[in-house]
Amino acid sequence: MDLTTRRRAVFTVLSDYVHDDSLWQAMGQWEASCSAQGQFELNKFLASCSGIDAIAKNRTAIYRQMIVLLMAPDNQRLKPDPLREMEQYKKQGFSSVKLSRSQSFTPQDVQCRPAFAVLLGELMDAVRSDTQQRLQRYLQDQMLSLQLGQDVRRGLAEWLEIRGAFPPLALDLLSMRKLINTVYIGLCESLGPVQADQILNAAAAKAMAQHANAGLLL
Amino acid sequence: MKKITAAALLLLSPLICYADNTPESAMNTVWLMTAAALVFFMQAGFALLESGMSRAKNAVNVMMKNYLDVCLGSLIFWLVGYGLMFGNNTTGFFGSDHFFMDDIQPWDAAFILFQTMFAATAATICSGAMAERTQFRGYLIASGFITGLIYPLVGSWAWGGVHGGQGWLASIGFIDFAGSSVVHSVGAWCALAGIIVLGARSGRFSERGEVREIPGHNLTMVALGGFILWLGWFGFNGGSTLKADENIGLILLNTHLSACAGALGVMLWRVLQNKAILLTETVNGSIAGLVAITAGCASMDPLFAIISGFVGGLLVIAGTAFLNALRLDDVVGAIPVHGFAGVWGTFAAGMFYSGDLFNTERMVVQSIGIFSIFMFVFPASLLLYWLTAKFSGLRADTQHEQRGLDVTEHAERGYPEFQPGSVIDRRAA
Repeated sequence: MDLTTRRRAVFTVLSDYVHDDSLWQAMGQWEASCSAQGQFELNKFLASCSGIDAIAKNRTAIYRQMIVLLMAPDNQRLKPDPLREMEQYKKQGFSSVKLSRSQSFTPQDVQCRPAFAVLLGELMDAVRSDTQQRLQRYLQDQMLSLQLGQDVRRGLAEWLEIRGAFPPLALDLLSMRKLINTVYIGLCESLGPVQADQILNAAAAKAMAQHANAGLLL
Repeated sequence: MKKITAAALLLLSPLICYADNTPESAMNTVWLMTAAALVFFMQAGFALLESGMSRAKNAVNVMMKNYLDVCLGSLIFWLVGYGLMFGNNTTGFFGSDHFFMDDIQPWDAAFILFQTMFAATAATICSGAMAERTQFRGYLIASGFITGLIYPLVGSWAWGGVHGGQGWLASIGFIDFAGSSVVHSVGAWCALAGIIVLGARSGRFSERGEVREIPGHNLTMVALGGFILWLGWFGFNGGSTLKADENIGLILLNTHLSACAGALGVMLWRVLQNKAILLTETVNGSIAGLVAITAGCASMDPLFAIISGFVGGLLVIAGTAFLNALRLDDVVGAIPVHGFAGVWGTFAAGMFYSGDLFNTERMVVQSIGIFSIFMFVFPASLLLYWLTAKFSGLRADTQHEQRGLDVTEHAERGYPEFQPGSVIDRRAA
C-alpha cells in the first residue's frame, strides 16, 4: 500500500474523532514517526497521541477502524488526501485557524445563507435516495479542496447525513457558490448535464420564490 | 505527373493572367468578390449551426467566437498569414515576403480578401468542437496562432508560391482544389487537439463509459446554418477557380450533388439500423458531403462526386461513434465532418480524377499530403493548446460551465426571458 493511501486511511478515521488543530497535530505526528513504518505500528502512534483526549478515549476503536481501512481491497471509502492541508498547517500553524475563525462576513454573505439552505435542500431533495447518497459522498470528498473551515465541513457533513434543520454555518457567498457548483457537478456526473441543468433550474426557481437573492448563489 | 502539376497550378494562373485592367479581368474580380462574400456568409452558417447545437446558456459565447474568428483572423492573416502562405516560397515550406500587404494592385486585393475568408473558415471549425467549456481569451489566442501560423504554413505547401516558388506538396502533384485538407482537415486536427487538451464537458461521459447526449437548444438554427453553409460552399468551391469561366458549372454541380449524397448517406445508415433519422446528423451529413467534394470538385465527374459525398456522410456516423468510444467530446461533430470527410475527400480527389481513375501514383501523392498535414497540424496544435492552457488558461471553471459562458464570459444572455438563475455582474464577469 502506498504512502498516500495510508495517509488517507489514517486521516479518514482520525477526522471522525478529532478536529481542528488536534487533527493536524496528530496527522503531523503520524507523518513524522509512523508513515514510513508498517501498518501494524499504528498502536505506537496512537499511544504517542495520548495527549489528545478524543484519541486516548477511543484508541481501540480508532485502531480497529484504521486496520479495516488499511486492509480493505479498495480505497473507495477513503477521504481525499489531506497532504495540502497538512502542509498548510505546518506553514501557518495556529494563525490559519485563527484567521478562518475571525473571518469577517459581509451583510450580503449573511443574507444569502437562508437562500443557500433552501437551494441546497431543494437540490438534494430533487433526486432519488441512491443519487442522494452518491451526491453526499461526492460533496464530502470535495469539501477538503473547497478550503472550508473545519467547523463548516463538519456541520455540512452532519446535515447531509441527518438532514433536518440547516445548521447556522459561517459561510461567505463565494463558498456558498462553490458548494452549489460542487453539487451541480456531482449531479452532472451522476445523472448527466441535461438533468443536472433541469434540476438546478427547478431548485433555483423554488429558492428564488422564497428568497429573491438566491440568484446570487448561482 | 506534368498534367497533375498543371492542374494543381490552376489556382495560381489567374493571378498571372488577369492582373491587367480588361473586361475579362473585371469579370473575374466580380466573380471572386461574389465568392468571397459567399464564403464570408459561411461564418453565419457556422455560427448558427454551432450555436444551435449548444445549450441555450452558451449560445452567445459560440456566436462571439465565430464573430471574433472573422475579425481577429482577418487582421492576422493580412498581417502575417498571407505572406507565409502565398509569399515567395523558395523552400517549398513557407512564404517569405508579402507581409503587411499595403501597396497592392486591384487583383491582389481581391485575392487577399478571398483567401482571408478561407483562413477564417479554418479557424472557426475549432469553435464548435470546443464549445461550452472553453475560456474565451484562451480560445482567441489559439485561434490567432491557427490563422496566422498553422493554416498558412500548410497552405503554403499545397497552394503556396503565388509570388514566386512553389509549395512542396504542389510540386509532387497534390490535388486539393478548394481545401478538403488545407482548410477543413487543418481546422479539424486543430479541433481534435483542442478537445483533447480541454477534456469533455462535465458529465458528458458517465463513469461506466456511457455517452450522455447533450442536445442543442435550437434545431431550427442548426438547419438554417446548414442551408447557409451549403449556399456559401458554392462560393468556396466555385470561387477557387479564381476566374469566371465555364468550369464553375461542373464545380457547383459536383458540390451540390455531393452535399445531397452526404445527407442521404446518413439517412440510409440510420434506416438500415432502424433508428431515427436525426436532423443534426442529416445536416452534418450534407456538410461532410461538401467537405468531401471540396478537394476534387474541379476534377471529378458528377457520379464520383455523389460517391464522394455519400461516403462522407457515412463517415459522420462512424466518426462520431469512434470519437465517443475514445471519450472525446466534439460538441457539433466537427472532427468527423471536417477531418474524416476531409481526408476521404482528399484521397477521393486523387482516386476519382476524371479521365484517369484509380491512378496509384496519384493516390500515393494524396496519401502523402493527408499524412504530412496531419503529422504537422495535430502535434503543433496540441502544443499550442497545451501552452495556451498553461499560460493563459483554456478550460472554463466548473462554475462558469454551470452558469453558462454567456453570463460568465460576456455578461449577456441569449434568451433572458427564458433563463432563470444567476445575477449578471458586468464588472465581475
